Amino acid sequence: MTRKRRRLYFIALGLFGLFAGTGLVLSAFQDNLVFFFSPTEMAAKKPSTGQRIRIGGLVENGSVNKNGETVTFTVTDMTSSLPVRYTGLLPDLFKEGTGVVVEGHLGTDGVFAASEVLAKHDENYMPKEVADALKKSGRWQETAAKAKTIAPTAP
Amino acid sequence: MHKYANPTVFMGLANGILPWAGMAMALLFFAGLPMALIVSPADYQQGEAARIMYVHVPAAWMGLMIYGVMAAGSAGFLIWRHPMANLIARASAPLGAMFTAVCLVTGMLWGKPMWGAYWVWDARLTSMLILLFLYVGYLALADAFEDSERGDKAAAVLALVGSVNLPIIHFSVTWWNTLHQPSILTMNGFTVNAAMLWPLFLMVGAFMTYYVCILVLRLRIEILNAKIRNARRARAAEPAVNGATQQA
Amino acid sequence: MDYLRMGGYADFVWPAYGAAAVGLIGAFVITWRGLKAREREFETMKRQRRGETS
Repeated sequence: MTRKRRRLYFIALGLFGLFAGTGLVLSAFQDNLVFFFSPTEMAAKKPSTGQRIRIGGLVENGSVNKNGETVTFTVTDMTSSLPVRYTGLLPDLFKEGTGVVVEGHLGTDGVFAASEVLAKHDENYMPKEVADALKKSGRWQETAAKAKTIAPTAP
Repeated sequence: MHKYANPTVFMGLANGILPWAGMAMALLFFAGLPMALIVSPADYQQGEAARIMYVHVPAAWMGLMIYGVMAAGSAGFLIWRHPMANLIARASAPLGAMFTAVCLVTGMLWGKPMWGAYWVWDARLTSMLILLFLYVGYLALADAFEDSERGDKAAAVLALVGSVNLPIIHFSVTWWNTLHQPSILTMNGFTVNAAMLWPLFLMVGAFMTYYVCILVLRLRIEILNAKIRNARRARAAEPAVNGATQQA
Repeated sequence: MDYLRMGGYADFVWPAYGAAAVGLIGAFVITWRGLKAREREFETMKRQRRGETS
């Protein structure tokens, strides 16, 4: 075996081990690597009230209620929903039927008290006319399918 | 293939490509910038802020692609000792770092109005920041040692080890819940409307040809550096041959 | 001019293009200067060598 060949095998084997090892470590720390949990995942985890956590999903259609500076809405992943209360400025992309990530804690009244609301954009880019035409022709993406792209790891 | 490991042969080819790449770059910027800033429509959700995508996405792709070039060059250097492969990796690193930094800055400027935050520690943003640190680490190592051969080897090893980050960056948005949106390239093609995809492709082309041009110039620097170093080394050895006194 | 307001996103769109321009033009200028400096260094070196041997 030539030295070049030996170096090639050594490096290929090293890289293989490195990639495999990293994959194992990453899958072990799955819970620490996700940015947010879906309402379903949160229901399963039962975080203690007061524990800071991030919840992501879609803003349920017709659920947004503005009362002065305070806004209440429901975050849903189409399986479970979570009522949220928030006081403050909302990002420009915050809208009913679009993705959102809220950070805060679950209150004793079962309402999630958010201290921060982040809008989650989807990967679709199109001019307004195209979006309108799609909606009119009924080929608009189903909300359930959209919820899947918002939280890919959700069950 | 291996004949291009010869710097003279390779640079002959590279210098021949340079004027063509330069012209292509000028044309692509000339067409791409007005398309990105004026002709392309505003997005139905993001409005005019979507225009940031035309620099953000190409910068992100270049940051990843150049790291791939750097890792491949480092492998070629470590395994076959190709001097040219090492020079390509060295010359690419500052450009990859620049593109990654541009990607991060433009992303922050998009994130503030759209998400409501300049920065969040989600898997995509964090892994992209690690990419920038890998570039910076490579650059620091490549110049850290007096003996440039040792520095080159240490830097090449870092480049190879860091390549594990590339799939993590790409798949971060599918493996984990992130605030960052999924990739615009899916199994069913691009999720970007054609009126916005063409300006994006033009800008990607402009950034690619820019990289080729600057890479050739940086390779010339690397080759001159090597020549100057060799000449110095030869001169330092001369007085000893002539029997003159020499200080270590 | 209305166009420059970028639909209210001027504070983000223009700095983003500015950052890209600074990065790309900056990298070119640094590279060009570095190349010229190396070429000069190499030329003086060659001239000195010729001076030594003649």
